[in-house]
Amino acid sequence: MIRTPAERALGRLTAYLRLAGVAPTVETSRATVDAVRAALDEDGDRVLQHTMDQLETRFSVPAVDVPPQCPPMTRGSIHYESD
Amino acid sequence: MCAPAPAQTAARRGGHSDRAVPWRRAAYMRRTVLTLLVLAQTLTATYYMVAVLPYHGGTGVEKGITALFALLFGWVSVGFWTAGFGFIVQRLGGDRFSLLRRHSPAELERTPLARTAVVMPIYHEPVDRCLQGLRAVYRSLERTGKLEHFDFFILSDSRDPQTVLAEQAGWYRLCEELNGGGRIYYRRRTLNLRYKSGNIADFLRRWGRRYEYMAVLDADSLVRGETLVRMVQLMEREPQVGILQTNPAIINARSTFARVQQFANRAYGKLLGAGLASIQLGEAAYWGHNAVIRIEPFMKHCGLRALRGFGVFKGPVLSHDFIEAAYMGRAGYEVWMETGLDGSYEESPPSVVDELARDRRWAKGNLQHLWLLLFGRRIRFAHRMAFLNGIMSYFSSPLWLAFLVLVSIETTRFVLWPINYFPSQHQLFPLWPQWHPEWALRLAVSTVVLLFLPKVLALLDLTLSRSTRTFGGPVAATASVVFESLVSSLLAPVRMLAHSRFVAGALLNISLHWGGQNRSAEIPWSAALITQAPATLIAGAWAGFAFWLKPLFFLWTLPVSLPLVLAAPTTVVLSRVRLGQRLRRAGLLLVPEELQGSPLLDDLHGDSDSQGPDRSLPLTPFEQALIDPKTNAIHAALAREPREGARRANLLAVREQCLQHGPEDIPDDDLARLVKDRESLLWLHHRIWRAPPDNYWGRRLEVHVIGCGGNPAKG
Repeated sequence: MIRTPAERALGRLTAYLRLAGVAPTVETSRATVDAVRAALDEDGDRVLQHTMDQLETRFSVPAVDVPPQCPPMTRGSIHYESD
Repeated sequence: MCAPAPAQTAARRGGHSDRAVPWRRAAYMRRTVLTLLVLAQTLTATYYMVAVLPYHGGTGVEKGITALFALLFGWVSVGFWTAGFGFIVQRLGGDRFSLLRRHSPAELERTPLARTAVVMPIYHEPVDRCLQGLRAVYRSLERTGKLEHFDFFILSDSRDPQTVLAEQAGWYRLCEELNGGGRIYYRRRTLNLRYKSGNIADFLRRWGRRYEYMAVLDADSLVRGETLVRMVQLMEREPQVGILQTNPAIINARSTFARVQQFANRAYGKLLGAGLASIQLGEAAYWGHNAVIRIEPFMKHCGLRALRGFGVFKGPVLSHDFIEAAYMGRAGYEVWMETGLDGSYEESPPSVVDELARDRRWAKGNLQHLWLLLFGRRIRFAHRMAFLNGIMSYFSSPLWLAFLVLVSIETTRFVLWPINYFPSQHQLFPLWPQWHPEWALRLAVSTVVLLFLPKVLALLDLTLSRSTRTFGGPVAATASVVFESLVSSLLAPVRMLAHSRFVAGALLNISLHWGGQNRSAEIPWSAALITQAPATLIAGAWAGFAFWLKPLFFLWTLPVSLPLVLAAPTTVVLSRVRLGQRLRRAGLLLVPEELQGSPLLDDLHGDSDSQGPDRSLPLTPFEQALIDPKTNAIHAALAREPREGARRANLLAVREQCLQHGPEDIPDDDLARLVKDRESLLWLHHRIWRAPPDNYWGRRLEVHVIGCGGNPAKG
């Protein structure tokens, strides 16, 4: 089934928000539709890009808190005895 | 600065010397008894062998047969008497010198713990399995209430960018799930030097001084929290102990082969381990994992220099563990294998092909020990014997092969050539060749008994200790022993031929690819037929020749030739998981954890409840790193800042190619550089989500992420 650019933009934005952990509330859905509408108003030929460009302004995507990969280094040395 | 070793300190103070330590006297006595028993048994058997031979050792071939027989019989005899020692120790309720028996449980419980790092070196391992194992260990420690004394390190040597990304994402999920941020760490070396020992050394140089001890795990290791706690308490109580090794039990076996190995390990392992420990006492070997190590002396005394010999004896050490134990002993510290410590596990390779792939590396590594056995300075005699034990584990195979070749030559000469009444040059009287098949049969039977009696002893020990119920009851345990013995008889010649090849390859110094282990896959018929074809052909030709030569000799060859002819089907059938599970349902090859359950196994198999990246997406780790916002953020946080320079331009071209055409035509090295560059990861993520639907990434998004298949139209 061929989908319109607006449908595609809506699907992509929704998928992004789901993966990013944005709660699927009524407000989120409304903001998603608003983002697509605004993108259509701005440039109908590049609706996908314009929709995704509104991610940061319209949604608060939860930041990923990455724990420390390693503790602070405490340098030591390995001793080698001859055989 | 490192404290002097306990033995050295004692010597300086004029305190008790080596000989005054009670276990050393016991070790001396036990080893003397073992040596006398082995010598007596071997000399008797060799005497009979000479009597069996037609010319009674009078020809060169017969001299060779006699020498090889003596060596091989001696080797079998060592195994037999070790099991005998183990049986006695088990019947006596344990070894009175063991560390665990020196302290009451209450005393150990009161012992405060020291900072301990649980380290898991990995190299292209199945990521999910090894991290689930670490999760099980973590949770088990958590249940002891003593988690705060332990930190966890995943030490990766992986090179493949897909594996690296999977490891990084897995580490994050583990931290999320266990709330283990700041306790579970992930370190990847970019420069892989000196294999696993180099990986551990890299950890020690960076963080060794933060910890008193490290518990070394393999990628398939599982250790109960109580066991780890008890080990650290023992180390705190016994400051002269440098390495405390457990006797790991095989667990979690699924394929038939793995289940056979698991049963053998569980049914006989305790007895053999107890026997070995009773002979080694404080001069035991370190097996490279499932052990706790005192870090300070390890860093001071156990650095491994590259070998400076020739051929295989030159270059980095491949099998580090035995050498590290020997160096620890040389520095005056004790190395103990404590068989009373339960709850220490590892897994078996799923098939004989995978076991042999691992043995290929180990054979070369163990043969390198010959250099240290002969030329290592101040290494204790017991550790030299441990080297010899490791070498003979593989070198006995070519000896056995040579024995078979010489026996075939001897038979051919006896049948085809005219009788030589004067085999010796300076012989006055003729020698009438005699052949006594009944003597030969008696000798063969006694050798077989020696090989199988340890299994009977182990079964007897289980029966006497009323433990057979943990193996499904006395009937099931006995049937399992019979089945295991049959399988091990089928596999022994296959291992012999493969090990002979590995030893020859090692001595010729053929370079090895050091790969991760397969821990799950079944062997297809095509692969088995190809890999086992040489063995089958050689054995078929040998058996055919034997039949032509003398039908009786053909019968003698059958225990070796038949398993080799059947090597391919044996390999395939034993790798099958379904058969393994069917045997389990039939009550065969059961082990205690399968009947009684294990929280450790439950944790290993339990589902992840991480809120981390979406794992249901059918994407490669690389695609997920670029598409999934959470995964991208994780990898970007772990990546490094962009580096300027000539390589930058190339990197920008690579990422542009990746954006336009996807990663499929990009070499792994370029992909690896791409995923290490924070700016490129973020840049690609940003653009991929804006990619047109007919682009590689647009299609991946439409089909695999958004879930709308079909022909994407331009948007």
